[in-house]
Amino acid sequence: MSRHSSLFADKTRTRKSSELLRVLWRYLSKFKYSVALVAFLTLFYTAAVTYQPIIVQDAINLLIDNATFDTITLLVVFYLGLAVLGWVTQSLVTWVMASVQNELVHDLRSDTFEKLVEADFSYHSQIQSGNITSRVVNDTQEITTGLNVFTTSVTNLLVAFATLGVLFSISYWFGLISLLAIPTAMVITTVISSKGKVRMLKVRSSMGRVSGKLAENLSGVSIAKSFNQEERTSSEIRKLNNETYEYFKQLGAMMTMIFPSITLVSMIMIALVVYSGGMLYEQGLVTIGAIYLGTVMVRRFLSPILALSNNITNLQASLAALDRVTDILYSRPAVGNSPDAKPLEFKGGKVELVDVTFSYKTRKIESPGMMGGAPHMKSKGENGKIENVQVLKRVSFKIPAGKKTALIGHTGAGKSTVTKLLLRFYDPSSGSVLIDGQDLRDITLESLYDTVSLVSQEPYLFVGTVMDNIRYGRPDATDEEVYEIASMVGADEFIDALPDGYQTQLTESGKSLSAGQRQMITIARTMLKNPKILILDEATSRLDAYTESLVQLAQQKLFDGRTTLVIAHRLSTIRDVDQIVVMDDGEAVEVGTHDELMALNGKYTELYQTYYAHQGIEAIASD
Amino acid sequence: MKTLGVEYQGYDGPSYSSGTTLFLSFFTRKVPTLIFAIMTMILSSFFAMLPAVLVGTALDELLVQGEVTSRFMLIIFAIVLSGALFYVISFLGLYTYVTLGFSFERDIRQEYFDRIQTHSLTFHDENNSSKLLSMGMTEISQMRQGVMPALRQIMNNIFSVLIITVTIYLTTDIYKAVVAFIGFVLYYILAIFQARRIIPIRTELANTVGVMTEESQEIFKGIEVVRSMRASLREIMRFRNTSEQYSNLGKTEGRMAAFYLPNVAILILTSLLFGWTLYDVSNGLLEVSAVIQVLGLLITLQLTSMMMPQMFLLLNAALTNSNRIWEKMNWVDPYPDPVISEIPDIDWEGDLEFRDVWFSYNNGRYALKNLNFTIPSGSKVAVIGGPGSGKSTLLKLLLQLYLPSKGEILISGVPFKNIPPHIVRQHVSRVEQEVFLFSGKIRDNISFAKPSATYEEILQAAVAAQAMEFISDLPEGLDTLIGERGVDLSGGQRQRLAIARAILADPDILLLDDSASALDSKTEELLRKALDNLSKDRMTITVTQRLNTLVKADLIILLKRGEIIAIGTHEKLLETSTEYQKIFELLPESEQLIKGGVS
Repeated sequence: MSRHSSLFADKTRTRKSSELLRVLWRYLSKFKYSVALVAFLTLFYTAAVTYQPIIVQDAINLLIDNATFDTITLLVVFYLGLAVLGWVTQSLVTWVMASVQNELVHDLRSDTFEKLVEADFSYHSQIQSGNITSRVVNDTQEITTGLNVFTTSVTNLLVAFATLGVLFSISYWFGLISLLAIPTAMVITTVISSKGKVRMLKVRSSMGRVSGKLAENLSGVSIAKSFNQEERTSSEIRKLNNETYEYFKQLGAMMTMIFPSITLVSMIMIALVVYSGGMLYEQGLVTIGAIYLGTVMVRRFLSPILALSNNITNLQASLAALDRVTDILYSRPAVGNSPDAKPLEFKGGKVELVDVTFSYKTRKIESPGMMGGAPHMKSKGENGKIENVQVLKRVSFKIPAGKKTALIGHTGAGKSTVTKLLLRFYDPSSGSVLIDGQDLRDITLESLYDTVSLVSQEPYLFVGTVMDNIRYGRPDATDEEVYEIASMVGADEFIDALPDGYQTQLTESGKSLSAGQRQMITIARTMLKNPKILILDEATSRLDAYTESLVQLAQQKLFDGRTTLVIAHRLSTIRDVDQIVVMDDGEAVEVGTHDELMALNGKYTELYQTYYAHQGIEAIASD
Repeated sequence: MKTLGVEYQGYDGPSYSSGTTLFLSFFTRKVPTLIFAIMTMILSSFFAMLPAVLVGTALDELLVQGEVTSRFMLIIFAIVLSGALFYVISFLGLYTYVTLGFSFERDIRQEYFDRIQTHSLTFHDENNSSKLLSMGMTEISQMRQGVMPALRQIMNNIFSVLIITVTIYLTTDIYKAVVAFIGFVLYYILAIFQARRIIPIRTELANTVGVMTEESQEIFKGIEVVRSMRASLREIMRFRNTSEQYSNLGKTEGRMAAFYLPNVAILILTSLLFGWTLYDVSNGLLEVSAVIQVLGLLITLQLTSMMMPQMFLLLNAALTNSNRIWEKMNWVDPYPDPVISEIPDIDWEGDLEFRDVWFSYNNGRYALKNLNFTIPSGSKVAVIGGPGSGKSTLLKLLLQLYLPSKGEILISGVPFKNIPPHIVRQHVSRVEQEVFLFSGKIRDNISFAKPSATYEEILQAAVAAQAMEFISDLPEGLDTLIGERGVDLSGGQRQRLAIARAILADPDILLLDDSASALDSKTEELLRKALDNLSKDRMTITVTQRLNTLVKADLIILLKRGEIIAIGTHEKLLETSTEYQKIFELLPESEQLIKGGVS
């Protein structure tokens, strides 16, 4: 079925075929001698396989005329020779193409990967990592599959033309009969790509539902057990499983029609050739051998024609894949080192946002318009309108060197965007971000990342050991340095308790660890890099209060003396910062210390009452 | 265990003695249908071969008679007729077989799920769920490919070889038939040999593409980290390496397909029989038609044999996967549930006792050590401890998701190990920290533990859990779909649904994993109310960091690295345990409570 899957790939593309072939040629030209060799060999192959049945014809005719022993020997030797030639040329083509294809796909894949690693964050934030990976792994493979299909198609075409030539040279009747293959192939291809496509899609989405349910029931297995509901989950699967079976049967009924139909048509064609051959033989226009040759050749004409019509859809899919890959290969990231970028000159680490406005394009997500805090509907596919969303509006504030600043505000107020601009994941639409007076756009990204580090909201870990993960930003750090930083962060206790300690393998982004433990590892990873400017994006939200209180003291020491911007979630965090910036709806509305801001009785006071105050004593007192 | 009177008795489907038996069970599932499919297969092989013979006979007739006779026309008609018969029979046979193949896939998938679902959680800890999923989907699909198309084509081919050998015997002589037969046997041996050489490379290719996909997806998921840690170049080089390794493997595999030896066997065989028949004809031993027929038959067979190498690979993959699936299905629990002959009468509202309880997740380390305590009937217990202290493990033991490695847990004096797990779970329920909900309607999630619940019961539970507050805002109320194709719920909302679910489960012992992260004050207040409603009148064991819960608890258990380091009431622990004092001081704003309490 995998072959058929390409039939149903997305066919919309933005470039002309000629343009795409030029892109392909850029990669293929490296192998031009191999390609020439393949073309040359293919000609020989075609000649060999076309001439073989002609020898049989000659043999039959000679036998009828009572041929000599020597002629027969010569024919047999010739027959064997052509068979060997066909085998050798085909093998050589396969051999050479194995290298061309695999090297080509490697080049394409590596280039695509590299481009994607350096692509803008706006790209990454819009497209799921699974889809991006599919560009790298599947689309590049699809392109080389296309190349393979193309080579086969050329061979098929040559064989088809040679075969047709032989048929017409015997009798135009034979030629005309063989042309029946063309409408047959067209009908079959049309049926597959219309009805077959519909049924295939039904099977796929049904399989998707089975897979989804199976995934859910496997990850929720402890819930089903806890509530004694195994029977229920089992019958859910059974229902979907049966549904899929029914769809499979419908698809199967159609697909099983194809092969018998082709055989029937080829038998009818053979019968027609024998019949017309008989008529022609009566008039002395053809020999018995020629009629035999006709029966072999009509049958042979059918298969390359069928293959060709099937290949056209395959080639379309490859071109669509090439189009998607070309998008990536020809993209130019908006954020990158400018030609005259200089390394950052660090002078204490004062950070400044000057009149920063930031907006991005997005598809509008339908919202059922519910009350605050209510769930939002997921965007359903591609039907949203593209909209320009302004997330930051003329934001200006300073983060004093070596001091701690908290950023607070409702969800969607623009806090995370500020941190992303500081790391130059994006450039502001207008205004500028400065570190020690230097605009981020004028300094090299490398020097920026040496200075600024982020502990993000979602602790992200890589496959590998705990040690590898902590060392990620500084691969040359010694084991001792890792132990030291882990103990300073307060992570050493639980790491020691892991089955293999620091050498414990983490899988699936550290799934086996609790969210809090993952977070502690990311903090250790960041601190090992020893950044002078630190951004903590809701960094402590993953830790429960108890754990947080345990590690907080240790971490305070670590954070001291660095310029720190923290998106605060907890009362304990905003208690001891030097400055608080209050964000509301993309604007920095209030800046000051806790006491100053409380005195204003404005946005800060409101936020404090909603999010922070109850974490303390009031809640208990009210009981 | 019929006497227990519960709905689900564990897996009761068929079992198999090995992976191969599991795969071969295809043949015993629907025997009459399969026999029909195989009979039609034999018939269609016959009709597929017939035209090759008929063309020879027709041309012979033409040659001998020198004109188009009625017998000649009859033969032509027979060619068309055998085409038509082939069409009908082969469609019927193929379709029957296809349905057998897909029902095999469906049934194995069901048995697989049913079987592994009943395995204890030790199994599910050892096997990550996405791996189990991909086995359940992809590998079982590959098992089906092993029967269809692989086994079908192989059987079909064997029949074709036999029929064609016999036909060669009938049209020429026994010697040529024997040579043809030996030639094809040689072809198969070589094809199998070749498949064996390719198999390890295929496996390695599949592994490498897996690694490549995983690595690449991981990088893109963590792209912010990669870039801000300045690891882009390192990752690009690493990917280039993996890609090159994959490309080299692909090259090796591709080159193996070149110079394919089995085809040499075929071409020598064809040339040999061609020459031999020619000599026999020229010596007057055979008619000219024999040349046409022999070559026609060989070409027919060549066409059906073309796919054989691929089919051997599919069959092999199917057998490998079948073994892997079988191993998962027949996993042996290192800690099997004890066999329980009769169920004792239990007072579930009595005291709960931990007597000398030790527990290990089978990783060489005890997650719980030497736990000894008694919880009096109806008490509210708070468990506190850091990550890895064993607090969640404690709750899992109470649900009997695991049995203690040493020691025992007793309810009203009856050891848990004498009670079947499903009975325990009728009386003990847990509200987890990271709430798992099933995709589907909200009401089905609430009534998960009690599918028979009426609409009123569900509504009441939702109200008590303070969940109606947001459910009534949803477009379809309790019938709103959640999960992948529905609405996303926030953490606080999910928790309240889990509470509603637990309310309908109506347990005697309630376990709460309540280490929620920061919530806004309104949500927190609702949650508090919901939990109060839920824990009313039942023994409640809460894993918590809330000051409020600690202060009000009848008993506090302080865990550290699997051991109890302090146990008692809040007041007692504040006096006696320095550890507890330290924690208490560290909890947010506790100093105010201490000051407040003093003044």
